[in-house]
Amino acid sequence: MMDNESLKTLFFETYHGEEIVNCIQCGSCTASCPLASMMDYGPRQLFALAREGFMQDVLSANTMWFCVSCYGCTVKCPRDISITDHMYALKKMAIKHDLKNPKSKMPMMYKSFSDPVKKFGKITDTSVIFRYAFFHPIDIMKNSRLAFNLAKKNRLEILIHPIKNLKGFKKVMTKALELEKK
Amino acid sequence: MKESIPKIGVYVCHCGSNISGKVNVSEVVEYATGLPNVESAQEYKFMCSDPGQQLIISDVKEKGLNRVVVASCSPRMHEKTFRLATQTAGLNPYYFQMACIREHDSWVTENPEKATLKAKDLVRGAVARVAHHEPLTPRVVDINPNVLVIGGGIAGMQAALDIADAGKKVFLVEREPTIGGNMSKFDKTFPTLDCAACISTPKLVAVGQHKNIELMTYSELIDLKGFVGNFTATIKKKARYVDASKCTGCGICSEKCPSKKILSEFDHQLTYRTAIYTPFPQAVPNTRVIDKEHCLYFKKGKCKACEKFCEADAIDFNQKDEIIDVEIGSVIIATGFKTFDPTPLTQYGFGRFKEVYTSIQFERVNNATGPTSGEITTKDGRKPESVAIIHCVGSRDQNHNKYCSRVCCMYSMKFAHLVKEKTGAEVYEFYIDIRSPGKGYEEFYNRLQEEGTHFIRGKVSEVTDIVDDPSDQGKLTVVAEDTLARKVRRIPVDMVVLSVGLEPSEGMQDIARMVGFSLDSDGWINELHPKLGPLATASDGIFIAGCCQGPKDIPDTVAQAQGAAGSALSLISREKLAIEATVSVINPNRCMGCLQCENVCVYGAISYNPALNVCEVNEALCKGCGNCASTCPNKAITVKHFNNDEIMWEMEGILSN
Repeated sequence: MMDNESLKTLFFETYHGEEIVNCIQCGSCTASCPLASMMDYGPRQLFALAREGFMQDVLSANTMWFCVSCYGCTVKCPRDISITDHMYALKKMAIKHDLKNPKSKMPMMYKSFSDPVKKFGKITDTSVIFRYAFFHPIDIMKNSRLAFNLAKKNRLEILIHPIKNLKGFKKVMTKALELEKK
Repeated sequence: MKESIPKIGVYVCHCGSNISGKVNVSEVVEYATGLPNVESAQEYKFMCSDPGQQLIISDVKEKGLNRVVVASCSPRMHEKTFRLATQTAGLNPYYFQMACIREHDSWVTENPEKATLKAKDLVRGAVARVAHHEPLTPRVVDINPNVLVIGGGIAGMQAALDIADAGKKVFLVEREPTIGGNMSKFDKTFPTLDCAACISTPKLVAVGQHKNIELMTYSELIDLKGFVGNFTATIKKKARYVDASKCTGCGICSEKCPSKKILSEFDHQLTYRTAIYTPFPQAVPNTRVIDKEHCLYFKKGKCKACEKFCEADAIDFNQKDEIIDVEIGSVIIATGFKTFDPTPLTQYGFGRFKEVYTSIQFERVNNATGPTSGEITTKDGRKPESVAIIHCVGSRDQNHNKYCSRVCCMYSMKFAHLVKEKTGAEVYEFYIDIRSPGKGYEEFYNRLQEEGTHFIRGKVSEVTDIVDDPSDQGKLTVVAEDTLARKVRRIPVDMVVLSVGLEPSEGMQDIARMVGFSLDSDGWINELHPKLGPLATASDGIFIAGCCQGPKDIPDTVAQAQGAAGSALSLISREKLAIEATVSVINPNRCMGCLQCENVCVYGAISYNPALNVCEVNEALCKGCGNCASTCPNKAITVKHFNNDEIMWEMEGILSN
């Protein structure tokens, strides 16, 4: 893994994280976060660690992976910090530079969602489940009862129906990736 | 009357070693001697000292010099000194020019040779310029000794009293029906817990009775014209529909008034008042006012209950608004503040939950003349078991007011103390940072900690009526992260107090435009200088006091009010005022009345004369900045002492090496 100093530079400069120096540590983000109780650190503490350079602690935390993008924190932040955007930035950074916590299942979970989108233009239940199950079969077993109940109520889509004009969608995606590289 | 042959004396100053450390002064003197029109050139250790100035004076007399050049520091430092010396020597003070060889040369040039060369250039420029100087005479104007004070809060009252006690006439204008301002709404004051009414009501009475104060309540400034020492203020006295000379303040009219359900402004919507009313029992003047908007007679044409019952025969439905002009020499602005309206912060539920109060409402709840006669109870009459006080509501927030309102931490702690004392309830203070800089303030914070107040460091994210424990049904839950204990807290409380910040009063923009001062991005008045001119504005003769300049507590407000009163007194006691001669003049033959100069003048010194279709300069307001001269497309404007001729000759001199 890269050292703390260069990780901070990477986060601040390439991923526009320098805005977090404005944080006054009021905690209104953590208090409005519906998943704060599941997180290793609340957003407030994550930013406190990041700006003091404890980037390895930041990247091995589950905080950003648990963010559900409800934007509750961003709306209430008195310093107008785009907290949710920084969560995305940290996730992106972790994947792109292979800095994710090796013990965490979350990156795989995210990938199980994004891969079907690339392939079919949308997510479907079975495509997500199968991808995730391949790496973490035990987790899926634990949830099999839920899957069974959903299927009974006709709430589990078994066949995969890609979107109309998948070719067009893929063109859009290619262009988007191209633009991002610039 | 330009002397035909200029005879110039050049004096080069060593300034200790400030100049001579880099510049070869003797070389500059020798060089200056050879310049055209220079009669004599000399050097001296400190030109600004008494012997230095004497040198100039005796040379003028003995050698018959008629122009003086001093090469020394910046004109900002000593231009006045040397102009005075020139004048003492018997010359026009504007026959003097300063070459700045310290700030512009010796302090900023590394190489001594280059520094000496630059000094020579600057001296040559000054010599070339001074030969073309024109004699100017400063104008002297009379100063009207009356003062206008706008705003009758604690700042305005204090300033008015100080000036009136000095024997000068004061016009005190207040928008509301009574003086007293925000302070008269408070219960106790921090950190000493004096009763606000006990210390402010004597001031109200003193203002009301002072023979030198002409009190104009329920009145507004609608125009201000003129310049320092000679202003004319136009004031609108709104009709009260009650004859102040007859009203005894007995209150029978309010008792009989049938319109009783009007939300009280003084109690911040917590109680009702009648259509004929007085804001609070100790109001000064104690003359009632009819609120035209809600009065049945004005709405439907019948009622007149007040008129029937008034024994003094004071009700006069035919009263009209009155417009009056007053002549004054100086103005003190003391328009104060209003509190932030927390309705846009929907997460705090103000207006949605009846037990959420703003701090100014809570002041009224605590006050003996307030809605509950000073008892702290919920709206359904229960004693609260726990109370949450939320700091920084609308302050320190990029989406609302970016600044810290400065007083909220302290008044919040005062509330915590009062709640504890009156009800014994648990008090939770949700703060981001406690700011208690002031005499006895930190000690007060410490006292609150010892009283068992819960200080929770975290901004509240939500106030909700959803409770975690069914037994708390009917309470409000306050959610915040306890950032020091690293826990998200959900605390059930009976009452919530929002410590709202301070904002500039309504209508500041209008007054700023009328009086001629600027507001900062938050709407507070810009003072002349943040350090050395905190009570003055960019307009001469206009002073400021209290919260109109920025949030502050009562002691600071009173200190400023007394300071502003002192500044105004120092001005009006001079009786006469000399106005700087370096002002702009408009040549009416070249002016085409395009008004471009009026647009760029920041001092409001230029006005348009429609009869002649030209613009004119008010010399008393002009500061000689030159904005107008550089804007004028017809070159009709010249700035005295900085006219094109003088500037071109100076440049000619500097560049002619």
